[in-house]
Amino acid sequence: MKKEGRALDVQGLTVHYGSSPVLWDLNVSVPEGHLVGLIGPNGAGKTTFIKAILGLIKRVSGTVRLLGNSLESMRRRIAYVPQKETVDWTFPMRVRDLVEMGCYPGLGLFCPIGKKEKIAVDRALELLDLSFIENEQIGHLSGGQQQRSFLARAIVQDAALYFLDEPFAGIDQVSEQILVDVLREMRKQKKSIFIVHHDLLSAREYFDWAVLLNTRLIASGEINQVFTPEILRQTYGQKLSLIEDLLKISSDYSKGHHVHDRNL
Amino acid sequence: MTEIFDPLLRGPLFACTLMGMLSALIGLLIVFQSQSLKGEVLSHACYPGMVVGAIIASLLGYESSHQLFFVFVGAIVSAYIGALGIDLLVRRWRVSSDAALSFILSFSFSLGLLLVSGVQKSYPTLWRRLQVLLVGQAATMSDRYVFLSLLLLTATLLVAFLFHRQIIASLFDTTFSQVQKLTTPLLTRLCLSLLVVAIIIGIRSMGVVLMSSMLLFPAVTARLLTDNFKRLSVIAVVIGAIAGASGVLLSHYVALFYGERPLWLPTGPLICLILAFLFGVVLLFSPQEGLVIRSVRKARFLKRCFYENLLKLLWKECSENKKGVVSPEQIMELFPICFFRLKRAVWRLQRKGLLIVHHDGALEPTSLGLFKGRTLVRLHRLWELYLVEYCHMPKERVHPSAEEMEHILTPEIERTLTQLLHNPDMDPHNKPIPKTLEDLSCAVD
Repeated sequence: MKKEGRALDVQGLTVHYGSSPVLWDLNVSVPEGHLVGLIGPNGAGKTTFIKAILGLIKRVSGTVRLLGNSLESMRRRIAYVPQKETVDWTFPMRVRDLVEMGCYPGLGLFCPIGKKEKIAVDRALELLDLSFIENEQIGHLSGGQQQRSFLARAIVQDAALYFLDEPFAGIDQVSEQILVDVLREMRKQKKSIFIVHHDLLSAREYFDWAVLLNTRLIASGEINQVFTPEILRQTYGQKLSLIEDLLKISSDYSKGHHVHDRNL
Repeated sequence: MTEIFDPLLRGPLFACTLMGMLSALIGLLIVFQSQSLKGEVLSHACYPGMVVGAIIASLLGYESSHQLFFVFVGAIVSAYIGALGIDLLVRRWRVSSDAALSFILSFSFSLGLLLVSGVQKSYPTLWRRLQVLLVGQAATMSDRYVFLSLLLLTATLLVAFLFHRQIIASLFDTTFSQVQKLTTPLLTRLCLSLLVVAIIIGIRSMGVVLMSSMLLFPAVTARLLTDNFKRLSVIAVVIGAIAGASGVLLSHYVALFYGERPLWLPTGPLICLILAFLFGVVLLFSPQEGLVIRSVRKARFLKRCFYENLLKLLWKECSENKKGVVSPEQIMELFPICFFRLKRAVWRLQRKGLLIVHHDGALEPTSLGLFKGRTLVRLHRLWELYLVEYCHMPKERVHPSAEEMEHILTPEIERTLTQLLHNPDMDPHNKPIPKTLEDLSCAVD
């Protein structure tokens, strides 16, 4: 398999929270230019997967290549949209300021925000239908509008790789439609977009590639090939209890924690 | 005005003003990281180190004026240990962060208190000097503190100007700035050091216990006044300066005023109270969300509802029931209201040209008054119909909601409702819904 043309190439990724593994020996490879759904039940490690890729969480082992390069050399070409609950929306900031943040990484210390940046911000606000509230304090927005401003910021970053964590959680119909339209438009421009998602019904409609996770990789491939009843049952149905418990117990032993003899 | 340059006043005045500005600016960092307790903890964590520093300095035989260096180093070391302790407790031993903060706070404070009481008998002069750390003593601050504060303020302003984007981004969304590598560990450490040094210098005027008020109050007060971070920073700095300066001046002039038996008001607590007072004033009088303006708005809204209800009643009686005029007595039968309030309302409506009072006391709405009343009834009945048709509410329960909504619905929503309900004629209670003027003129044509 050629390494070029791969948006994401993860080999042997393992991540622990405390003593229990959240992700275990993941090998995922996704070609460029897809709208990728990261799908799995609650606690399957979807968010952790993204955070580990972006270096927000320390990984125990594994390598990550983004578009064939290391994370460090790719930072400027990555845009990350965290779950909207992770920030304080009462922060004194207008929608426009939030979207403008997208051009901070590209600006030097002494460079003011110039005409080029202003145009980019205007365009992103327009695209996500936020122009009419650009001067509102961000706390006054609805959940959907907040999510849209987050995506607008990511668009201003003009990245090649986008990582979105649960963008469709708790937002209204109108916002969801706008987000989906914009994301499809971005895919047409050959951007690679990774989206954490938990709703199976809409997944088939939204994405053209799926990565199914539950602590370990269940399947990765074009959506029609991996959305089979068998694979979905593996992802959601049977709990992978034996392997999970044994991994936890093994790590407890090696760190000197008290080991419960349940499950044995 | 020349008194300001009186050496006795000059030191404390300028030092406290600059300190106020400095801590207001630095305080933004902890307030908007939702780590307000951090200032309190760090100032207490400095305490044992300052005590140890002062004890070592006097054991080595340094004069009190040369002890500053030792106190400073001691404070930095123990603040660092305190911060490390919090980090260990939270990250390693999974203690919740507020528990860890209170643990470090009380631990270092009691350690300091023990050390101080240890020297009470053996070194009484040192003991007296150490007492100053607890509640501060601005009155004896020399020009040295002015220079120190000025230096630190300049440094902080420089950092703020250069790195404002990075700082704002990481305050608002840490993961964003981490992924984009906007903040470096160096910048984070620089900000933390500025915070610690500001606290140490501030302790001289405010004391260990009150220091965090200088950090928090200006930012919290400024937050009530604006939604713009840069403007907020400027306002916070101004508030800090006002509080610092007025605290010193008040303390100084109260002491002078009482002359013979001077009343000594300590500066630290005064500054703290002034900050609290400013917060209270802003809370009451802030132009957008102040309590005063809000109660005014609320009263205005209630008054408007009252007048509108009256107009509605007049339209129903005079136009729908075809009476032409109504007497105040009839109104009071239908509308539980005291006579004087009605009288006043009638006078106001008359002045607005909405009704005419005949000489026998009967009230007749003008055409404008009739129009307003009819619109209200129309909105009321449209809304009732909407609730029944679209929200499937039982029709006997829709009246209270419509009583509220008739005052709020805008012409745009009225148009939407009209379209949605296909310009209906009857409401759920089989009463006619009054037509708009356009409909009426169409009918005439």
